[in-house]
Amino acid sequence: MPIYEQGYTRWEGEIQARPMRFWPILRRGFLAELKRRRTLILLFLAWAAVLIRGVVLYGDLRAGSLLQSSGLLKTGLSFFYSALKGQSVFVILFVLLSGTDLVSKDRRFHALQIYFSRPLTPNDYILGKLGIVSAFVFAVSFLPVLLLWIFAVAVSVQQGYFATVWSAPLLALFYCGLWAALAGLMVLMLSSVAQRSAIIAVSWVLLWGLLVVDGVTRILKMLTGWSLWSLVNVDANLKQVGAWIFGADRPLGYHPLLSVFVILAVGAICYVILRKRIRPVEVVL
Amino acid sequence: MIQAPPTSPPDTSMVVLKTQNLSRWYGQVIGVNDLTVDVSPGVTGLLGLNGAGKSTLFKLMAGQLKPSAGVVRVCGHDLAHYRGLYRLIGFLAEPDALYESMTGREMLVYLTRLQGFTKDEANDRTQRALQRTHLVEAADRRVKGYSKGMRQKIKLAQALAHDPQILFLDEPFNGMDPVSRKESMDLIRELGAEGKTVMVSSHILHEVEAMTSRILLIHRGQILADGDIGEIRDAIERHPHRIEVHCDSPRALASEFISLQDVQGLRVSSENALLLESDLPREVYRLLPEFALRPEMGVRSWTTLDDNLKSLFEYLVEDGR
Repeated sequence: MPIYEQGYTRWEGEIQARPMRFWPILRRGFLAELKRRRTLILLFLAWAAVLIRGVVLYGDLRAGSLLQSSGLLKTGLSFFYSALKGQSVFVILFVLLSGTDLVSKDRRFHALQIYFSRPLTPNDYILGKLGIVSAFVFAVSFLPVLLLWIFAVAVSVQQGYFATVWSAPLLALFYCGLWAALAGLMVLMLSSVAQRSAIIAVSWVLLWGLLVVDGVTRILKMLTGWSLWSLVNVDANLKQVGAWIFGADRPLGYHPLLSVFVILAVGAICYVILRKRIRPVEVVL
Repeated sequence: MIQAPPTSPPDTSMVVLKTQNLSRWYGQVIGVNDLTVDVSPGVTGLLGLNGAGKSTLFKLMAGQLKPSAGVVRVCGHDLAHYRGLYRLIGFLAEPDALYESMTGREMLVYLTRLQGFTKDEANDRTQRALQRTHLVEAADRRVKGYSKGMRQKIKLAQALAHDPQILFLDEPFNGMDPVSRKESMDLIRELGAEGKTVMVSSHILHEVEAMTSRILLIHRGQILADGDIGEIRDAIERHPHRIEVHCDSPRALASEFISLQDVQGLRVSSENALLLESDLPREVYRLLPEFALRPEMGVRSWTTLDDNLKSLFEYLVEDGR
């Protein structure tokens, strides 16, 4: 005679949330974007740009013995920083292409309910979405520069070259992490407050400090001679921090710690707004 | 050997879900008001008119809305403090929030993985959920090509794919054709019999009645009645049955019914309609086809006004005074 289960067994004890809950969001979003032709073309172009830089690097390294004495050698830490800076345009494109719709679409179609009826916290959700943007930022900035570094170390004939540039991958990792987090948080924040992709993209460009903002701060700096105008330019402050850690020439006239403060403050503001906007429910008054 | 046949009765003595003085207000508007309720395994119907607070209550119970006051306890634990309890919850929300560009299967695997399952496990569970909701054939089509009924089914599938202990189904039959409706009702009954705690909201009484006898009636954010549907039916029976007859000559028809003992009230409600009130409507229903055959009456149709939720609520509110 079968013994039938009498339904539900009372659960006792504490349920622990599992880590890496953001992973399926990141993975799914990244693969979905990767299926698009425009993404593949842009990735190809981003890597082609680094390839060209690699050829130049190879020439520099081979000619290193000649150039070293004349001080023309450009293959030190700052070379890798300039390689990262050179990828800026691709980073911007990927932030905008992959990030503008990430939250706005979920809000528009009430999909937040789908996420938050599962054991996900808003932070898991933010981390997953931020991960999508960051993955692309890393794919076009850190990864190619890392390969460039491996290539440089492998082909270098100069003695002590590794000792000079050993920290480049770590510095690049830090810089790209900062870049991805800040750019990602900003685009996600805008995506949570606006709905149309074009508006989100234009707002991001303005907030990031490109085009108009960059021009205006330069003019104001020129007219007043006051360098602190650049505090409103996120991009310039990020570059100031990059130049500081890589030991390159700093673009702004004030201490890099002030730039660090600006970056942290902007990041925190973006996070707070984002966190408020993705409450796990749509309340219709 | 332990078996779990769909027909085994759930243990309804156990409280799986409990709300204590639960309230939620939006500014000046009260969504749910000081609601205390215990829900046991099996199917429970949540009935209420549009705007009664059904969806708000579900969102509160599913942990998607923070209560303005009160507590939701799932298996004795405060839902607000244990996010992991969400693993025990499956939620079919009323809004149509689906990933249009994915196939049904891809979407289910994705959503199941969000529960923390591995890829293989998510695939297995997806397949089972698709089978239970009769969606296997459409599983590899893009969601944007789904009919309204199929969209409801895929929403149902995502709610049960991770095998939750508690299911909140907010208006699950909206837009379903009769066959899908029947299949889904059978599935919900099965889930209840398996020992799951299933709460189904609806504003259609007979829909809920087809799945369960246990109902919660919610009105203006408060529980109006809680119990067996038979008791609710009795409440209806205590009131005279109301029948509206649409015809060309309501006065002539009224004169025919006026001598009938079982008819307590007659009112010409408009130029072409007569409203009858009767304690024993059987005689009225027997006579109506006869009058319909007489051309001078011009009887076109008749409807009972009592078999809808609105009248039920009116009666209950009236009885409560």
